Amino acid sequence: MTSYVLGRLFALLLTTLAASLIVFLLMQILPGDPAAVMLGVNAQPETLAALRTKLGLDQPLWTRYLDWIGGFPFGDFGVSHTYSTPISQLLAPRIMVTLPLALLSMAISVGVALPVGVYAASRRGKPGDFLSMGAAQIGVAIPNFWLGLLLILFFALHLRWLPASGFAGWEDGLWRGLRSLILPALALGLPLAAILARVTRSAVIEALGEDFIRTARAKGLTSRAALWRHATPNALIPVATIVGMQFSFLLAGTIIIENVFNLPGVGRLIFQSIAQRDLVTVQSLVTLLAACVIFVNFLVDLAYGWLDPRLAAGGGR
Amino acid sequence: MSAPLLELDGLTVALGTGGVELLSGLSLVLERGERLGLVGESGSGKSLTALAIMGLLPEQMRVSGGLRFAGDDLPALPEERMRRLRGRRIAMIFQEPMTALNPVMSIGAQIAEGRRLHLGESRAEAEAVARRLLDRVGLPGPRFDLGLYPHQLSGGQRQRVMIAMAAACGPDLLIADEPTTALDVTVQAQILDLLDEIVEETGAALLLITHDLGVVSETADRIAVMYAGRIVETGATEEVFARMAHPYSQGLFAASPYGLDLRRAPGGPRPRLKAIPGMVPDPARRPAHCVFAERCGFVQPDCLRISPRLAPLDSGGARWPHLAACLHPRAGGLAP
Repeated sequence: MTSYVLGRLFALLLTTLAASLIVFLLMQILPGDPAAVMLGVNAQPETLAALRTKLGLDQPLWTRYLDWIGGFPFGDFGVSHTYSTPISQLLAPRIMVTLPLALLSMAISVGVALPVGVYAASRRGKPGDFLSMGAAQIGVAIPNFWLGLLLILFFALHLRWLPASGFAGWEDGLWRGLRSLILPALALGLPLAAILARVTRSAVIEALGEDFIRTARAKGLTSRAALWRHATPNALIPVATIVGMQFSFLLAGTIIIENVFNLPGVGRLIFQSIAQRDLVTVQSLVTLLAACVIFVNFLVDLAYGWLDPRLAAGGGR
Repeated sequence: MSAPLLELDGLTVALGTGGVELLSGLSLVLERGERLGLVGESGSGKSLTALAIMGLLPEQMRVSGGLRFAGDDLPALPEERMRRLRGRRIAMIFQEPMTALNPVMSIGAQIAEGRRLHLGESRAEAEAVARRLLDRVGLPGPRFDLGLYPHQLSGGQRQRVMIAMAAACGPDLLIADEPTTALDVTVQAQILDLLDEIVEETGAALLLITHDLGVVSETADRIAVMYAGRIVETGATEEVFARMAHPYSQGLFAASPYGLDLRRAPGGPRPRLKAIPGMVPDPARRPAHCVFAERCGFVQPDCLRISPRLAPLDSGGARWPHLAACLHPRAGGLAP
């Protein structure tokens, strides 16, 4: 098992490096000289050259890549052009917004999708199935930013239950911070829940058709117990796969949702960096997000072994 | 004398109310300690009979006629009482050991589940029993740990786990639906022996469903041959094997390797198994006359007019009378 995990970690490292290389090269293809953009159209050639040297833009491509990626193991992601601050310092407070937001969205997605999907599967072809899957169909069709606006209108402006935008910070207690994340997490998580519910439903329906469900019923289990104890655990593997894939959608979604809700998170930082042509920041943040997605999928791979003993490393004979 | 353990009295299963009949007027009685073999080719309704007894038929199927277990009218029992019979007093062993066990649940948990459910035992108590059961069915510890998963076992070992599961609560009736069909021939005999021993030890009744006449002749005291949703011949196994009266039974026998001396005479042609021509009729198009008439080599004009009932062939007095549903039963002997 340990050697399996170590092997996977090594593969994970290589994937991350490949991702960083792609991100780096993409940034080089972008038209426009960052130094020229920073100084404006009327810059003196000497000033421009000086800035290019300062930014290291006059170095060969591979030196710049190695310089940049070489800092990553030490938490040195470069220095933001616009803020003139190390990116790691920009990142630290923003992760405290985006990470809880992502986790909360994921929890909402899974927490809503599993019961709804299993319920719909158990009521297959009946009104309960049509109702829940109809709702899921609507959920799939709604873009998260629009759902975010609707949630703001209803829960923040009409009912005045939750703040419309901004982040209260964690200094005044957990609940104050969490309150400002509930609506954005719903806006991010519900459309994902809709997709996941449909996947769960079909996976559970497939499991319900298996012979071992008949065995469980013949053993004297109620159809409900057979559903939850035997069919659902067997359906979790495809569900876990989709959860892993959804994580990347989720991170991409934070860029939009943090703007809609005016949250000072990583997504908003990326958005602003793109707008301000702060290329090093964009490059580092996108690479970090890619590493995040790769890591989460690694966790999903580990979860497979736990969900299905047939897939556990060294479990077979 | 109390009510028989299992009594089918004209059991009929139809698709929807008044729809196509899948089982037509099945009658048989099974007592504790008896072993009954239910034989027939695919589509004859053997497995459906088992599911009807278990109360696990698909929703759209309707049961009529008598189906009683220890005096209880099973179709009339509320689901909760039926559920308490399943696995506790009526247990079932399924055909496919590869798919009939839950792949993500340990075998120990699957065996213990029934006892925890029906007898309210704690996990530790039920697992202690599961350990003894695994030892009993020939999967001794520590090699065969309770924590093993089905994919770590061979087909025969999984079928042993199925038997341990079915025997877990000491059922009065054990239904084995083709328990050896999916297994290697060498393993088949071991599993049959095990099944036989378990039935012997527990005193349960065994309803053995198979298409394999060899399996029946080894295991069952009594045999019921099914064709197109009805019983066409029944009697003590020895008696039926000695004097097969229904042309279908004869055909089934001639079509199996047991019915034929397969040794090749020097220089002679290779002996061939005799296939029964035609197919089991579609339940929606079963004729009103003898259901086997279209495939029967001995068909007479009246076979195409009348549907024969099960009638005794011998003078009676035997514990299990030899009955056949044929207008022109063959006078003893096997198929030519």
